[in-house]
Amino acid sequence: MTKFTTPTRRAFLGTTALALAAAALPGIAAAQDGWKPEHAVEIVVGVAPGGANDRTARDVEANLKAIGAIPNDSITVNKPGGGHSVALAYTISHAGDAHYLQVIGGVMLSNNILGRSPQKYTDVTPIAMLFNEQMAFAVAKDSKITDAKMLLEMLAADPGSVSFSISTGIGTTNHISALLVAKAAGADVTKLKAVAFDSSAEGVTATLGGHVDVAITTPFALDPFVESGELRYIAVASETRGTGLLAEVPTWKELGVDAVVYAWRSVVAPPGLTEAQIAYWDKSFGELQASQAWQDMLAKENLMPAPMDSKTFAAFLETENARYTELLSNVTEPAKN
Amino acid sequence: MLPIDHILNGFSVAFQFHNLGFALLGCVLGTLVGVLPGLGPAAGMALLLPLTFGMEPTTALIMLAGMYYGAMYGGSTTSILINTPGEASSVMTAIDGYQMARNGRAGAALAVSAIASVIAGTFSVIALTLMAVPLARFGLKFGPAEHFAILIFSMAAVSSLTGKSVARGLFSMVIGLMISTIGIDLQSGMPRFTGGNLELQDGISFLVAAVGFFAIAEVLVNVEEHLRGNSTVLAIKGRLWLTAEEWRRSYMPIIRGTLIGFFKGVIPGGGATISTMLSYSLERSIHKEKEKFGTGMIEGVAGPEAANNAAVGGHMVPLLALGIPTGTTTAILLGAFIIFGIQPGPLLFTRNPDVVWGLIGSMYIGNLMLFVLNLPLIALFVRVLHTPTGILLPLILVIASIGVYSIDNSAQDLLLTWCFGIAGYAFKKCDIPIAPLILAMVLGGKMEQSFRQSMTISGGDPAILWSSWIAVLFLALAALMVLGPLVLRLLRRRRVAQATPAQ
Repeated sequence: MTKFTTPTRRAFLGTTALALAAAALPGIAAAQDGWKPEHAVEIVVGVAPGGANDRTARDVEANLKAIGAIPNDSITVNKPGGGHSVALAYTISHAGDAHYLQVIGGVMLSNNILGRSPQKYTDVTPIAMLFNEQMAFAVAKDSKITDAKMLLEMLAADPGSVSFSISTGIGTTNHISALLVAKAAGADVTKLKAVAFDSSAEGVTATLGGHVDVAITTPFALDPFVESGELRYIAVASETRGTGLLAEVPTWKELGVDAVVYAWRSVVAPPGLTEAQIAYWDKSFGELQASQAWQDMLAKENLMPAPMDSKTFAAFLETENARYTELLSNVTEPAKN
Repeated sequence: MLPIDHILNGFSVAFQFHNLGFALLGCVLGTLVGVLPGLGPAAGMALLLPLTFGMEPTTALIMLAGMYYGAMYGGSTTSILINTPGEASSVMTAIDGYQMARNGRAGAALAVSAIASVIAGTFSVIALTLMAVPLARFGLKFGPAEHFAILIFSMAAVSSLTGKSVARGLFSMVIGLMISTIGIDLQSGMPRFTGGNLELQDGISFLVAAVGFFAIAEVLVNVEEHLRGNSTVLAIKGRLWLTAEEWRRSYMPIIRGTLIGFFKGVIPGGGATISTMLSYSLERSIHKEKEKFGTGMIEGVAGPEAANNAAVGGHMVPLLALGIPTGTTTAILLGAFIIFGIQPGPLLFTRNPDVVWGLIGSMYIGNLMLFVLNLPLIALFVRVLHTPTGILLPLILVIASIGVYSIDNSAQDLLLTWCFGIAGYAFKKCDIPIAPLILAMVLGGKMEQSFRQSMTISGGDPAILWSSWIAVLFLALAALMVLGPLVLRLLRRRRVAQATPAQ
């Protein structure tokens, strides 16, 4: 199969790259002295296809191609398992190779903080911060939970009376937002029912079928079902209200619950990259995030742009790691569950 | 619009010249992807996806879907000819398909899998056309507890494949279950039995084990026979097509396999592989000559091959009607929909009728295309068996190794496969069945996760496991499957005991 399609692929990509190179020439010329990808670029992502992270990886791949930052071939590689740590291990194993980029979020920090994974954020090269995604809470249309207040009351009365679907494991942003809400409700967070699913699609499915009470995931995964009336939003863990379907949805903050968590999405690379390699990707992601296509995608998918270059992102990781460490040690015992 | 108008409209889209062309292209590529071990429809579609940018959405989706069901046709070929499953859902086909080839009936095995595929494929598209929305609703009733019940039932079905010795079968199954626990545990996020090896955190793909235990072990056995000088050249006996007798034995398994595959496919969270296992064990358990399974029974090829093709139509139900992917392959298809700005789900049928009905229409045509395409290939493929042993065996090793490597581009997988191959050789020498190990690997991990998801939901109360009629039904069927033969045997013994004193 690979052998069969290679000529067509190459021919196709060749022409595309040529056409795009003309458009992106000024950008590439500047990086000419330095480094640029010599063969296929792999966009690694730690979830199965279909989830939000997977979509970001594929968007990054497509947009990097569109701006001509991937001169050769590229592929999105799914390495699901263990809350992204399988994928992270894979990326780290390619030390010094700037052809690997991984799309990952805060789980990179929480996995290490909870002692589950030896990989630290300092084991990778920070490349770019992309955007914040909101954490929305939704219930099935005929759920006994009518609104956010009721959820708080139920949690306060008996934390075991509500089950939450959280995709790809304990310690994810989804999980942290559930913990924060439970804690604010005055519930014993160790009794919280957090059910881990392989992907947000599976978690949403279980909520649609009434097997799990509350789905906590991104508006992207929930919107279609809220629009069709299958699910109802009850709250969102953002600083301010969102747009679109979320415009009507209260934030936890409005309800007096201090639960502001974003699923931020970023790009990291293997350790040991050269200055030139980092500079190339810095430049490329700067262009990517400024491009109209990327901004249209963000608007369409209800994502909040939060661009940072490699240096700013590295500093952000340090402060965020400190925040997570405090947050996670407050809300849960390490290695419990 | 009446439903019939939608269908006719769909055909008018599907019959447009470029759509026919891309459906054919998708089917051909799918067959190739299916034939190559390791490279499955998911990987193939992921490779093809970037090439569809800029195409009309309907055309692109028709091509991608063609690749998906095309792979189901192709997957059986290497299973039958060289005992190497082309993709995950054709593992069951290898068991009797390869033995048929050894008995000189490779042509018939390939033919029956093509026939089963076209019948099952067409049926499942018809069912998809008529019942997509209500069926998708029903699929939502399956939560973790129901999944657990189905998996227990599947496990019970598998236990009937243990062969002559129950102890040996159990041994094989337990090894499989043990292998399935390797890797990072979803519910706790902790690595288990990885010995610090990072690649093992990903778990061991069951294809790695399947290729090792089936293909590599078979090569080793053949090498031994070759060295001892008692290897037999596989001859093609009779005609390439099915005999009337073979067809008579095949059509009921095809019908049953189709139904199993379609309905299992509708339930979110199950791959086509489990439906092929259920079909195989059903055929075996209702057959008069159970012990002959594994020696080249055409029923063991017809049923599973129908099941894996019917599953494609089944998987389309939750995908199109709810926007829920049931596995990796449909998840990529979902990604493709979204890239083209189309959101599958309850609103798809009203918002984008052209796309959805065009796609469904193309699946009718694609299935027929594949059938016509595959018939002349049978004559070509069986020539593989005329290859002298000295060339064929290394060739199998090469194909199997490339296939395994292409799953995750992992050299460790390759080493593992060879180790499994050596273990498989030992299994064969000790007369330990291999199928229970492979199937336990498929079922074990999912069974554990759905059990623990259920336990988290219920707060540790096992009553959740029998809290719905669906779960009760499957648990009861599982109990019947395990206890049924025992009870029958007891009754028979009592009857014999009663008859004896009377004499």
